[in-house]
Amino acid sequence: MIQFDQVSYQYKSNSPYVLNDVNLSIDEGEWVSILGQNGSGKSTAAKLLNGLLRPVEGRVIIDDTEITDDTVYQVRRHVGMVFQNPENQFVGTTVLDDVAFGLENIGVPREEMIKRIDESLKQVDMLEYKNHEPTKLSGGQKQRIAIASVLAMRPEIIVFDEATSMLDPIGKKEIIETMRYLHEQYNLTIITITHDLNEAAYSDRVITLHNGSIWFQGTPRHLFQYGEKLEEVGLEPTLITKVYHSLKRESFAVKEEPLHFKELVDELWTLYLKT
Amino acid sequence: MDIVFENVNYTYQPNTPFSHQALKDISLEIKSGSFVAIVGHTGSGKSTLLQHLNALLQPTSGRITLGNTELPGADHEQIKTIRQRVGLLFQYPEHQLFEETVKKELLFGPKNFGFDLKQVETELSEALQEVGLDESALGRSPFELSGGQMKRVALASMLLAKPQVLVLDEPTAGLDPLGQKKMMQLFQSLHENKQHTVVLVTHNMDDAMKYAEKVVVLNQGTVDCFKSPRELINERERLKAIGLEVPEPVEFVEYMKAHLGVLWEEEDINEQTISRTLIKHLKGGATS
Repeated sequence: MIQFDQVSYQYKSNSPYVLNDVNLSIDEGEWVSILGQNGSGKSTAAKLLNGLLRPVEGRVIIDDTEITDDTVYQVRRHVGMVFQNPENQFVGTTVLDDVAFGLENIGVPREEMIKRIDESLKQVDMLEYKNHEPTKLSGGQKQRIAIASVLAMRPEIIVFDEATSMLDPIGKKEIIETMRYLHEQYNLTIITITHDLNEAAYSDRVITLHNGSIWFQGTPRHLFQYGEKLEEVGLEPTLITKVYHSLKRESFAVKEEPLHFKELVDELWTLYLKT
Repeated sequence: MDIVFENVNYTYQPNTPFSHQALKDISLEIKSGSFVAIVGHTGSGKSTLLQHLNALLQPTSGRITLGNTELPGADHEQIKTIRQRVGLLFQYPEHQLFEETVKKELLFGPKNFGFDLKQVETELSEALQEVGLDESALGRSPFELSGGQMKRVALASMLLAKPQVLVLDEPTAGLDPLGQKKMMQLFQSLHENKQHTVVLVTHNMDDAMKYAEKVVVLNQGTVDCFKSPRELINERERLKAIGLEVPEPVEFVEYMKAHLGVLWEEEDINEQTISRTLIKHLKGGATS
């Protein structure tokens, strides 16, 4: 379990607080999206999660251990991070070397290392690229390698810090599929930092930050009910949310806030056309 | 200035075992004052092509005419003129910023091109305002800024060099939705009000279809097609086959047509026309 206990953060003592008295808790096996516009504090929150930053006030607690100078390295083994730009996280000349890097660092024996590399590449469906050069891969494939490198360390929690925002639409889909698979098959706790509501639609819960405070907390479906109000916190409602809300204004009886366009169309089909 | 490519080929590391032909027999014409998008999958040749637009790369064979300059064959002075007239905004702003302060950064280009710096200094605050930055940024280091702010500084420094052509490589990647919209609107207004030629290189089909007058589709180093967004909508299968996603609204319309039997009569596909068509359809359907 992850807990933020009255966490505040400022980058310099004379600069404004980017997070202000934030309390939150995330359960084991949960998939939570942290949403917000640039400057809302969401990336700061991500960095506090694995001790890259330490709160100015308050505490960050992972599985009953508060992150401190003494515990940070221990905690980091449980919390893997995937960053925005796949180009910046490669160290190896082949995919294999790259995934091996973290394992070598923590002294995993060779036999175990080979096993873990194959397993984690398989989890992201990149095993056949084991001996490829990372630079020749597409954005989505590079990001999957970055995920494999994290998986090989066997964390219980993975934080995706805007991991899809630099990718083309196909790459985005690949990564979202990978997240869903890992969440369902391995019960990993997944935290995605994003401003893409289509991506957030897949998570169990969303936390929306605005000016360093929690603006909303609940299911994606509940968040989407805000419709155009989402623009006030710099989020763009999805196409389907916009269409749904214009139907609602015309008093069509559509029951539930849809997450995807298939949900909306299928419900319309049942309601109006079946007879 | 018009940009004309005639049978352009480009090969990286020719005559070596690593030789790789990135552009194959490219012919196309970008008219002065137009808004063109270049789309393609990873490895389609997009970035190689865009580097030809301001002579960072020159064709291995074939010919490019930029205004009244021809490549290959231009001398040093001519190439310098091209670099001033064709501004390039890179995908990763940190690749093009290097000065100690934003102010120095902004003055670097104009100084290099021999502009009157006193004059340029009076234009700084307006340039910052135009890209949505505060004047207080001038004294800060560009590296203290967020990704979105760095991108804006790079854009302001490009605009201060007074280019005629703006070449933008994934200008909105990594920005939040509001920032993306604002930046695209800025390019549109530069295009409409100042007659800049805009070349937008992107994998975001939504933006390409929404803002560009014509779209170049690149596939494996060749021009697959060069069409208006309206014509492209009918090429969904073809786009998908080369790894490009059609915009979400187009996909939604197809799904509605197939599953609800909606009759599509609108010319443009966007959230308003979708809502309008659905409402019309449902009202008809509900009463019958």
